[in-house]
Amino acid sequence: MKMDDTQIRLTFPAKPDYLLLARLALAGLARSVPLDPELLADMKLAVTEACGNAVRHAYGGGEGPVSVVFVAGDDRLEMIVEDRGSGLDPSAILEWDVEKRVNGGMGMTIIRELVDKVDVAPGADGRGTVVRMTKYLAPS
Amino acid sequence: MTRVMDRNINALLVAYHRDGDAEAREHLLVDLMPLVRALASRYAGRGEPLEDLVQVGALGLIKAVDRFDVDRGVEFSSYAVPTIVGEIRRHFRDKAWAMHVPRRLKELSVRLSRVLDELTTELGRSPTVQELAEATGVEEEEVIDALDSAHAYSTRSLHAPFDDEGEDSLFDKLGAEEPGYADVEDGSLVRAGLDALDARERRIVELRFFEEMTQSQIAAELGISQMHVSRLLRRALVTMRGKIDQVMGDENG
Amino acid sequence: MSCRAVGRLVAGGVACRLGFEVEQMEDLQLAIEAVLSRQAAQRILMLELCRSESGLEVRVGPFAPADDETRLRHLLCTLVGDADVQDSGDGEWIVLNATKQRALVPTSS
Repeated sequence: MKMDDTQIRLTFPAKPDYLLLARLALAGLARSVPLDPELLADMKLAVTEACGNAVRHAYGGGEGPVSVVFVAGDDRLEMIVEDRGSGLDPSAILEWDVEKRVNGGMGMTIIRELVDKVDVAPGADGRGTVVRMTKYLAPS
Repeated sequence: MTRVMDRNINALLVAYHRDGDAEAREHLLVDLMPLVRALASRYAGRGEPLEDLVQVGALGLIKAVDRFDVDRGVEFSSYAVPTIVGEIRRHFRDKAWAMHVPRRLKELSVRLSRVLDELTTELGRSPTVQELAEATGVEEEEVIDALDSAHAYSTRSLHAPFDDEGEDSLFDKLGAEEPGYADVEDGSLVRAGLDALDARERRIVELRFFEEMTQSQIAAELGISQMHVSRLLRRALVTMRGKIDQVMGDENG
Repeated sequence: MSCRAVGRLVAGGVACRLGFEVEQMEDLQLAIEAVLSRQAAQRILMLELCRSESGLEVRVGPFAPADDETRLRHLLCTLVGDADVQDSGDGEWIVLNATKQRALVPTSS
């Protein structure tokens, strides 16, 4: 009998202080969806990268929400990060600044190493960005 | 990478791979170390020292610089990042990191409990989560996770149809400062409740209600602060309450 | 049920950011655990956390009406400063007011 997917939506202000909430939510999910510790750590990193991008770019220094939907199924874990911002890139960086570069662009590259499938699309009605990450789980 | 820097990195890569310029290779390894540090820092917080991760990441950087194909027209970062990250992740696998996690968690829980108690005594109040994190040198997030995992939260619902009789006295006493379990009529329910507690909670409940010791006396007996006893007692009673509800719910069908 | 653990941990994270004392955070988590064990009125249950003057306001619902209101409120009040059950169009909502510091109370043994 297939279990219903567990779905949890977490919404919080797009500020760095709140990124830990996404990781804590994953820790909570892992209490009942058995996840190997390495996998859990990777998922926490992936969600941090995705939410971190939203925190840095979505609202151009202003305020707005970020939401993460976790879908835990028998065969996969999905994390869908959404913001409703304009997704403006920071203006052209003229000097070598690893932090900005790494945080801005590397996030997606890292995410691709950690999950099986990544999908980036504009949000509903064209506003904002939706990043959908899927990790397939080995059958238990 | 910025356009200016991209030209530099690309120029250095070309100089190294096409012209065999060894100095170019040295420049690359030095200039790209901040990238290695930034990537390694993402893997901090798993209990491996950051410097170890940076060393491992540096090996990945060397591989990436040495194996990069300048003629393929691919951007260096999209090759370097997975290579560096791959080395770091392999480091964790090699250390059988995943196997040690349960033991680390147990050790952390024990340490948190001890430091929590020390701080409570020292401050005359419960420390904030931030204070506890600082005192143990652990991230706040890990503190929250470890504290939660140390408690026996029930895996079944606390909700059950309520029965008026023995319940009332138990519940009402739970609401008051000093519940008296000796008055509860149904001993088997109390036993079921006690079974749901961990060893320390059970001992505290026994000392309080069956040996009728005060919280201060219990604190002295167990070598912990009275505030700690108060907290443990309250949690124990709520857990017992939940278990009793559950047992009664099962009996009522 | 994973949603209880998620509720506890996320509330813990917010409480931590607001400077809650450990004991206050854990009492709040216990209260949330008790509340989340109730029967939800719909497939979707919501947990809202809002900063308040003395700590955190937590709203959980909607729940199917149950006859445990008095007892539940009593239990919750031993854990957090204030707890209320409010009727709304879609069911009952439980509102908790948790303080980040324990109120000064004369110690009694």
